[in-house]
Amino acid sequence: MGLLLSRVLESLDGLVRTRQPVRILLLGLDAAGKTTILHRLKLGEVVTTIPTIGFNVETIEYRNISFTVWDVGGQKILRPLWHHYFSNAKGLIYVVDSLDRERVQEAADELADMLQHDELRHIPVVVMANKQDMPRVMSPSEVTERLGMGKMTGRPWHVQATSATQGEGLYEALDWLSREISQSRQY
Amino acid sequence: MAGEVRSVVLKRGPEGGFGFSILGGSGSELPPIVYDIVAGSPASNSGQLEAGDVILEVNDQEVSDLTTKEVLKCLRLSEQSVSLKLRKDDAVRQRVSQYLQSPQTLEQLRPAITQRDLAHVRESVFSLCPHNEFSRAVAEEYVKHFDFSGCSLDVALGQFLERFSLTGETQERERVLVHFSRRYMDGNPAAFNSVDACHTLTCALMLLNTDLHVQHVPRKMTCAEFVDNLSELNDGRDFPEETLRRLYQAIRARPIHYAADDEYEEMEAAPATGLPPGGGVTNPFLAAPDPDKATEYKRGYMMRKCCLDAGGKRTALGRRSWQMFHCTLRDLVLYLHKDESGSRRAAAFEHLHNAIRVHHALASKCVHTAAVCFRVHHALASKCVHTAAVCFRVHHALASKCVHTAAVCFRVHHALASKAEDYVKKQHVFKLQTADQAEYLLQTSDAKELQSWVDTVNFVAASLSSPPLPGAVGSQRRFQRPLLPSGVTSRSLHYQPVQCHGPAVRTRTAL
Repeated sequence: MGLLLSRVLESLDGLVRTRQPVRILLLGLDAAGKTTILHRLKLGEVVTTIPTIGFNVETIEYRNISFTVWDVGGQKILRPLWHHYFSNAKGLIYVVDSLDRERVQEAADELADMLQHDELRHIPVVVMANKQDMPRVMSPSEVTERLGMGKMTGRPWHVQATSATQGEGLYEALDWLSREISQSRQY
Repeated sequence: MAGEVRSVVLKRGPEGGFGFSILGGSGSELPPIVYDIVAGSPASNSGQLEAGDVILEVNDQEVSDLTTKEVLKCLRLSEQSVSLKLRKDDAVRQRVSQYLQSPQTLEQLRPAITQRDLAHVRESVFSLCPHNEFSRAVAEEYVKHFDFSGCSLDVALGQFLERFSLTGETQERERVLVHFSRRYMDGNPAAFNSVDACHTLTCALMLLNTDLHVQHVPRKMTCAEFVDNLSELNDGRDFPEETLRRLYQAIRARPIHYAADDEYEEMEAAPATGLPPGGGVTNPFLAAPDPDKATEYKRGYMMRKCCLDAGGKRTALGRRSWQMFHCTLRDLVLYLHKDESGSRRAAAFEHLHNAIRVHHALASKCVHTAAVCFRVHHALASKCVHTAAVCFRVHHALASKCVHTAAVCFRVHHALASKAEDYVKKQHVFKLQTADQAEYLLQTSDAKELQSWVDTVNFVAASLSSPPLPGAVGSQRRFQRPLLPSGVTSRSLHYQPVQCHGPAVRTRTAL
């Protein structure tokens, strides 16, 4: 009986807590496919009004978690602006163009740079190795290596093959992220 | 005046590319043309390509009616070398001279900008060549049409965005705003410490506008947070707090709206309407295929019984009974309708919310361990099924809401159908295993029909399934299954066995 009660309380607690939207940052070099991913994640919702001007932000309901995804791109001098959104960020989605071998080092540097911030120290990172529908792309393991993910400690990370144009892999990436987030909530 | 047609064959360079970019294509005012040639690349070494050449064919495929993206795809899909058919066309060259990067073109362009519709300039310049010297120069010219002197930053930004609709990803937007900031500082040199500072503040205003006026953003930024976030960003100093507060209030009271731009609306609405909602329970982000465009391979009545749900979990006892359906196999989706009339009504196909993806599903002896990953697909699938003992099925799964509504469908990509030899209670039964690890028993009317269904499903799954994407790599070092895409492959039937050969050999060695 006690067990049952505690289970009921737990699920109630979960319900109440998961209503709270979770802030996710979406990051990546230009033309990596961030906008396509953001659009794809929002599929099915008809845009009726002329959107407010500004930068890209979308809310995605998934598995009882409401993700608010901010597309935080741009030059280094803008980095401080995103600071406000770093605090309380629960996860980072980093999009890499798997076709672009020339700029993968730049992508690696930007990611490393970003993850140095104190607020982002322990949050889970999911890397979307995008454009996998193209021939001769870098595989997730190659992307892992080039980004130096292996050396990353103190945070869970995941490199997922995706094809934003076809919607492949997005579910798997988000699924991993939501599991990581709900796990970290329990502690 | 059309020039001679010539054929060029290029081999891929060590970097994997050919070394030229393209422009134009269907939807723009230009045919597909060669645009930028990278020095030292295969394209420039061959000496046969010239910027401005019209591309007629890529690998013997006509490309004049394709969009830029589609032409690019043709180029990318070509193997070690590409054969091009090019034509020198002076009329086209004349028209595109402004897009080609030569020093004198900017001089030619200057009067053109003043006369031309500004929106048109945006369209042609910013979207066609977004990231080079030339477009920067054009942008500089463009912003000269604005005079911001004496305006406050929010008013100036409002004025600018009334004319120029800012779209694309954050980086693109930001690049455009750099020009705005520079122009603003031209008119108001004393306003901020530097162009960079002005630019930072401009972006901060855009961000604030998003934060305050996009409905679904949960917690709005407060004025104090806005000020705090901008501390020390005026070239290392603080912006005057008074100014920041005023800007905050101004944006809050009066949101900046997009220029009334039909184009933008269209662009935003297209992805939403172009794809039917809900691509299936198992994966909400996949596009549902259009049943009307798909080829029908087979139809007929069958009894169905669910054995395993997606993810390989046993179907609950109450949902395991036999049910009769009228089944239609169209491309990679097997639609199940209550009766024939249901399947005739096109609307019935829209009930994709119970879709079960039958892609890349495999052999009967599935070993779920991480030991050997094996990619079985296409023509190879049926062969491997009998030879290789180890294979596995992919795809994460949500507990599928299964099977209460009239129209149900399975996706048969990477699926395997096989005679259910071990099921003895009924006759003419075959087993269908799908990519998401679900398993069904389907009963047909007679032995011939049974063989025909098994063959058709296997043929469709083998010939249409796209190659699997490699599995994820993660900090938790456990086995990750590769992804089996549900889309129809773009590879030709001829090419598929070639592609499968490598993995098959590797697996054999591993075994």
